[in-house]
Amino acid sequence: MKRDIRKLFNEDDFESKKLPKNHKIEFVEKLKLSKTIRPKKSPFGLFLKIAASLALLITVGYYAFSEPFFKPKEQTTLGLQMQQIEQQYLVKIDNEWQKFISSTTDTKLINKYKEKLDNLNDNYTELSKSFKEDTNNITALEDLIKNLQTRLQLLKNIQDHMKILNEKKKTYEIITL
Amino acid sequence: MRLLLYKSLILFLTFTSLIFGQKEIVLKKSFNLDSENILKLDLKNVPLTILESNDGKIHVDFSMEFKGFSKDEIKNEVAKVKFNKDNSDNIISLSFKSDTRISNYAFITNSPLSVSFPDPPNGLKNKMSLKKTKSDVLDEIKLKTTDNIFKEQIKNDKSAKTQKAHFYISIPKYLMLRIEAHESNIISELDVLKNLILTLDVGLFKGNRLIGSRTSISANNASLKIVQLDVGGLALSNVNKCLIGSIKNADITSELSKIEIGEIQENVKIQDFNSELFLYNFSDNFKTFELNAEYSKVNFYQPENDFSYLAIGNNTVNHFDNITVNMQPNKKGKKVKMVKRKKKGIGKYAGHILFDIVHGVIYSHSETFKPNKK
Repeated sequence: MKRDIRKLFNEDDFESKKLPKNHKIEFVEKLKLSKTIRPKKSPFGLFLKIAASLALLITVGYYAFSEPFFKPKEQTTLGLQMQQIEQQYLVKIDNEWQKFISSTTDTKLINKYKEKLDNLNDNYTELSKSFKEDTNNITALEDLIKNLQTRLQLLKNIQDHMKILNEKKKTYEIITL
Repeated sequence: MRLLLYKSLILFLTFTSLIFGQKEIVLKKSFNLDSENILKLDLKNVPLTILESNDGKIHVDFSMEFKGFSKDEIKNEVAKVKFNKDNSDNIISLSFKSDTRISNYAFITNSPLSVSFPDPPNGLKNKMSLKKTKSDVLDEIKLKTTDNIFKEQIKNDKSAKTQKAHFYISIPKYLMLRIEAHESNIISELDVLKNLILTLDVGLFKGNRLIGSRTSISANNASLKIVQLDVGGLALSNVNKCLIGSIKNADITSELSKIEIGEIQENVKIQDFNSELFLYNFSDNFKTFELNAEYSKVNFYQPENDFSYLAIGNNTVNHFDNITVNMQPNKKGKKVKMVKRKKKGIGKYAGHILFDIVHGVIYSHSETFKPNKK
């Protein structure tokens, strides 16, 4: 059967309940108890946050921009090999030098060789700097090797020359051809 | 369809550039000249070839070719070459310098190459060297060699990056050239260089005919190859290889070097300390040859024509074909006659040779000496 919906709710079928007298007071009390206690703000809190952020930035920046990060200076295989060989050659050169200076009393000759070896050593220092810039550069490596070989060869040559001069053989004053 | 075509084209171009490498022009310029100009070149760590210019101008063409290098790496390599130009009075100065050595052909590799560093030979041996003709020496000068000790290993290394430098300067004939070079290889393809003044510290110089009384070459720790030196001066120090096809009207001052001369012509003088000298041939009209030496090793190949010869000095060993003798072994430093040879009067007389030598070793090739019976 059709009924007007506007009239439907005029009929009060729901039980109405009355609020207790103290409801309002009890509610407010409960409300007060439920508030959370917020801790007091420290006056240094902001400062600590800023300091921590700065420290983090500086640390990251240091590792990001320091050389080892961008250019890991690992020795290449050639670089390591060159170091070993250089040591071997330098020991040999020094040994030959000692043998040479003990085999002659000609100070002019010794001074000439000292000057020559010093020049070659200076040149070697320059070449080494170039090689360290790029330890995979074969041309630079070859120049270093040639320098070491030249020094050793010079000392061996002069000692051979002295040996020839000092060998016992027939002597003559004037040879007429 | 069109999009596919463009993509294919891009792929093709990228692929071909990777195969054939990338060429970068470092510098390409031309300069005008006045008739009295002098060109001064200041070089460091760069290779240079000098060509002849036919239009009276100086042309500079410097390019580099790369294979296996990234764009940034190419940019860095090219940026290493610094160029500078200056004009003052009648001198045009061009400067080309690089922080690191640039070669005509260089390579960089990350592969673990096996490197062996053999000891140099155990000093010099007492041997009589074989004679070379003038042609033999000229052939050796013209030979293109790369003494690259890793060449074979790098050839098969696919990870190797290669770099080629092409540096040419074209100049008019007879332009006066002054070069100061450090760690540079210089090749002159001009037939004639007049009044060249060259200072070379580490590197190589190769040239054809050098003329002009102002010609002067000073080389230290370098190699020299000269087809013909007609007049001028050479100052050599620790030049491990000096090849001269022929020489006349010139002075050589040398020390600790190895000098080979194909033919000694008129009026040559050598002042030497502790070098190894090879005097292979004398012309039929050399007039005079003078050698002033100390602790030198001289390979003396006697002239084919009639000649006269005097050696003075002391404490010098002379190796003949049949005997080795120690001449004037006094150590007091007094120079006295050691060897004398008068002209025989047979055939054309070519000239007089004078050796002033102390603490030396002479190899007198094709000469025998019979000591007088006492």
